[in-house]
Amino acid sequence: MKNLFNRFKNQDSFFSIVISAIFFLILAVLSPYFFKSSNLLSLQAVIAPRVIIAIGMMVVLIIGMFDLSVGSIMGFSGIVCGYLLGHGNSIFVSVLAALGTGILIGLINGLLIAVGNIPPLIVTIGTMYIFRGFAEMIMTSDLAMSLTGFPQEFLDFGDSTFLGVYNMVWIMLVLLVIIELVLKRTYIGRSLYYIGGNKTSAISLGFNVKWATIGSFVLSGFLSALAGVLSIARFQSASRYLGQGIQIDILIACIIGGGSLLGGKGDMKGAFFGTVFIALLVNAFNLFEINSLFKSVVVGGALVLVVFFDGYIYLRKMRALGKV
Amino acid sequence: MQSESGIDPMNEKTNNKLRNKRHLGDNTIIGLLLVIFLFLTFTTDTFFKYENLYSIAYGVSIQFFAVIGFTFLIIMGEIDLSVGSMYGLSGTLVGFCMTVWKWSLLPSMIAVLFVCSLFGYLVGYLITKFKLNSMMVTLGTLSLVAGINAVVFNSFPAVIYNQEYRSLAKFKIAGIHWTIIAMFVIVIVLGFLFKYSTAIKKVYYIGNNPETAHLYGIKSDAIKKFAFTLSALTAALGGIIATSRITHSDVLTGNGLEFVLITGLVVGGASLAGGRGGIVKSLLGMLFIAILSTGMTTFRIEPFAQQVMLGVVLIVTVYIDSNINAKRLKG
Repeated sequence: MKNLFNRFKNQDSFFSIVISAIFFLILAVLSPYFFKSSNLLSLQAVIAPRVIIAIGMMVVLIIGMFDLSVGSIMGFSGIVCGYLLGHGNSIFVSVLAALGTGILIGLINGLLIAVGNIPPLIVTIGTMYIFRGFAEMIMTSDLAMSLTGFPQEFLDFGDSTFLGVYNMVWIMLVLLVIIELVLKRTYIGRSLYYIGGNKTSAISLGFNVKWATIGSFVLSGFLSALAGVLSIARFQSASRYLGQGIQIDILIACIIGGGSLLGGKGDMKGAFFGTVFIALLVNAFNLFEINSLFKSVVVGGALVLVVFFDGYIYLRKMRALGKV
Repeated sequence: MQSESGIDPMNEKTNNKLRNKRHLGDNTIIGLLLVIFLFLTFTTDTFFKYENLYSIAYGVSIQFFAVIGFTFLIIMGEIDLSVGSMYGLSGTLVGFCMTVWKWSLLPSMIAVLFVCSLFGYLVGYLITKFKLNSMMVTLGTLSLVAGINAVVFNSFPAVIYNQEYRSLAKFKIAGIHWTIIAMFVIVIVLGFLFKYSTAIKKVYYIGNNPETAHLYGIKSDAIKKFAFTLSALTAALGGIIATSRITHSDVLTGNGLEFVLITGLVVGGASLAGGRGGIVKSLLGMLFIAILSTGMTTFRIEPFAQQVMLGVVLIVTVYIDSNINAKRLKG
């Protein structure tokens, strides 16, 4: 029993699980509205797309990089999907085109980083600017008039529930399980941790760092596009605010969930609970009618605390080993 | 400081040799600036006019304050993502002191600058004492400070600030805004120091090779703490002047400034890995971005397409720069 608890305590996502459990309890006990179905449904619609993006972000973090373009990919792909649907294309074609857009942007990111040897910060800030710019150009032109009025089946998919839970939450859960299994149980998944942990030795051991980098960014682009498509299906329109500024929230959620910008750390539990923590936090502000402006104060403070404790514990370990 | 092998890292010649070998892409920015300057001069009538050039210089001179501390950090391989939030917060805080507490301008400014510097010092303390990653910590403080800004902003009615505060950015010396003069003075003084002062050169040693710098007894932690304090201080100063210029607070002031600064500095020849860059290059980088956006506005390119261009410029410059350097290293 004690062994099991220690294993639970020592995993990277420990902090995020505890803190979201605490927030869950606070909300459940103190707010009579928390378990109202409307609140639970809106929470799902907030959490699911963000967790889907966080999955990709966590994989990118594991190899020691990060992706700031996720918000722009989400927005741009959502708008592409909305545009095609509004022009009478079939759902299959539109969704496929949107996901293809995401994969393509992810591929651009990955190629520039792995082959062009440009730091991920520069590349993803660049693509963040570029595709947010394209999205805004579409939304401020005449094309923007036709971004509503989607086919009924598409809207039904976004609105229908299975066992009381939105379809997109099921997609999210399936993705979480698959990626977690890949990360923990397959050669490819484990190699991502090696690469993130020590890039130089991973290269000399013969791991294909280039392909791992490209693959991770393609995955991140694909998942961001998927989140964009699911969001417009749920909210029935493509807005120019889709995914705006979401990258910082997701990055913070992943780091609170045990990821690290230094790489080699993190898992899907962390991606999930880190995102849930931020969503519950925002929900708490709404339910208790506290000014939601405090949200970023608390989120930022939580991140600084997590990073601080992480560094403190690491430093103590290193001191004990006599390495500092 | 003579080492056993006889190589003196503080020696101007050895060091220049080393740096020349690695940084021949360094002067890209001058070429870029020249090209865009000539292009705009010959293709448009409005660009090469005193008023136009003056307004570009005035715009850059305010943002330039935020660049000063940021440059030190980038050279040392550290980063402060909270500059943009700090830029916004300081203006709002001064407005708060003057509107709600009825302080006059000078004490408000001193108090706010002090508080912001203290915050920067704390961040620097955390990062150096516990060996944290500055990008992660300042990602947190970015959100933290932006949140504080939003809270303060909403705690008092949005007003146009009084004459005293508004006049800060408008103050002129000999018909030229004081910020422009300050910018040139700072660039000349700091540029001189970057070139000749061994104290400031330590910043490059830390960026180039932290371990060696440590072995040679350079107090990296103290210098880094100072740089984080300076970064918060200069960002706050820039923000106060920017708010004075737009005459009221706005939660969007400084929003995304960190990305603009990174773009400007990197285009100017700095490297996120540290060890490169300088105050003159930072200024040139910021000027390049300002001229580029003015030029695009003259050609009636819509603002969102300008954003696309900014992204392309960022990636392409870094690509060219890193490839030139890689080739020189091999050859």
